[in-house]
Amino acid sequence: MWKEVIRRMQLQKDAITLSDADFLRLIEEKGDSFYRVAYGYVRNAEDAKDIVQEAVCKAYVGKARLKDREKFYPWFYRILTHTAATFLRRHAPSVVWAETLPEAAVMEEERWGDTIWVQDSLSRLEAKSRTVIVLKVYENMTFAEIAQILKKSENSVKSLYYRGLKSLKERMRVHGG
Amino acid sequence: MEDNWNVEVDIPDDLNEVIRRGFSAGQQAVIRRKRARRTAGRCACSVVLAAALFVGGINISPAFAAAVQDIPVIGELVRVFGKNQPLAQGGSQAGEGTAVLTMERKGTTEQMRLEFPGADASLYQAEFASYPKTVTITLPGTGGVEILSEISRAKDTSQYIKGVCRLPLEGEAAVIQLELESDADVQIQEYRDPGSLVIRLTPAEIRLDTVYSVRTLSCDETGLTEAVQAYAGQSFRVLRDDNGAFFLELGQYADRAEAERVAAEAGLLVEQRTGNNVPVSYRSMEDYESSRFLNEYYELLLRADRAETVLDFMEDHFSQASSREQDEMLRGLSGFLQDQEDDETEAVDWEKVASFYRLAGQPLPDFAQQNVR
Repeated sequence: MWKEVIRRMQLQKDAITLSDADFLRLIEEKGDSFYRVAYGYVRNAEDAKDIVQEAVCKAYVGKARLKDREKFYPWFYRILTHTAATFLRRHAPSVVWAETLPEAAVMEEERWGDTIWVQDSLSRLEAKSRTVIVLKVYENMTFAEIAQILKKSENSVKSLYYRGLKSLKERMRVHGG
Repeated sequence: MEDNWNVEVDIPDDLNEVIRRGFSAGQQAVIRRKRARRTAGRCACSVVLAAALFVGGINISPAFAAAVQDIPVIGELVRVFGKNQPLAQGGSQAGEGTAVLTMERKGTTEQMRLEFPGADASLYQAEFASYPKTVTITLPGTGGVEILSEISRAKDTSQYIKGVCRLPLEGEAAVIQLELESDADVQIQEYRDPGSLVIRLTPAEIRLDTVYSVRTLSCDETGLTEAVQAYAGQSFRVLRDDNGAFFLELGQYADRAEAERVAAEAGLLVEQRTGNNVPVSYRSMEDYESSRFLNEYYELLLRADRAETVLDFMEDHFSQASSREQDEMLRGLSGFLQDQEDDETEAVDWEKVASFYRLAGQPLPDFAQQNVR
């Protein structure tokens, strides 16, 4: 069996790498979406732009690792969310999150109120829940899409999402939200 | 049913510029990496070139030659063999009595002088081979044990001799093997009045080629006698492994597939060795299979750029692996994950990592602990 793994890896290594032009086109096509996700993390235009720029740079450097073009976007969102999470770690996340509230965060289907105010508590969520919520809130991605990005099952993603929301809700109660 | 959100985020006008800057920075980073690799390659070449110049310098520069001149030898020169010549034969009679060994050093040159009791050198055959470097000296009729004790003393002060042993081969001849460091070149000279054999050791360029050795399992002295009988008529080299056991090497190949083919036809094993590495002890086929399995794992670690690939491999094999193999695999995994710590392009499945440690009954290392919830 392990020989098969080695062989498979060799085949993957031989796969054709994405050309520069294709790479740039794919990124630009979804540039707005990438920016919104980055913004969802940092709530600051300049920081969000820095994150997008860094993620594009990292992705370009690592594009030879991408073996399946069909998975380009999940792969890039993964890089983007990791870059954003690292940015938060490096730049005192609690301060960033406490500065402003995502005033426009509106839940169209009533779950626990017409509007949720995602307070600084979002930064206190476990990293994966936070990623799920950002991708859901700012990009309206489906659970299936998020599952592909996080390489988790749809059920795990749902669980992370509702766990995250529950945690947010509890914190809002504590803070009188 | 999934929740729907509608969060407005203003898209900055210069977003495309931001993307282009990231793209351009990526291109620069790739160029820098390629340049760094080329520089590293050139550095490695420079070391080899410097070593080659040094060795070459002995032959071409009079000033250099004066600095590393020959150590004078008493007697009349009869034969000089080429540097690292694979086979040197000579002498005029079957040896009697005990040869005496002395060793001299001057600068970076060492000389082992094997002096025979007669006016001429006793019959000898010296075979030089690499990967690992050995000189095997066969002395028909000469009292080997006495020679061995002398040489054994010499090796303690030699900078080139790694080990000495008398090969336990049946027959009239004493067979001595010198295991050399990789930076030793060997030249053999024969003298008369008194009869002696001079083994001259000088600095050599270190080579790190990889060879595929076709060999037998390791064995003790009895097993060696049986193996020698089994492969009588074939060309082989007797070697010692890292446990001091013996085995026969029947060939070396630069190409793995070729070595595998030859080994399969002859019912032998293939050992991959690099440079002057001491051969590995394979006491049984289980040892051999285990070593091959771990080698494949190490190669996977070297080639893999994602933890997922390594974890997939472990998922397939870890539970069936022996505790020693599991221990090695966890060490490899730990090193790999720590190397990858700065790689933010991949989300490591830390739960899976933890499960392997649990299965092996080992505590999770600190760096992994903080990632497992």
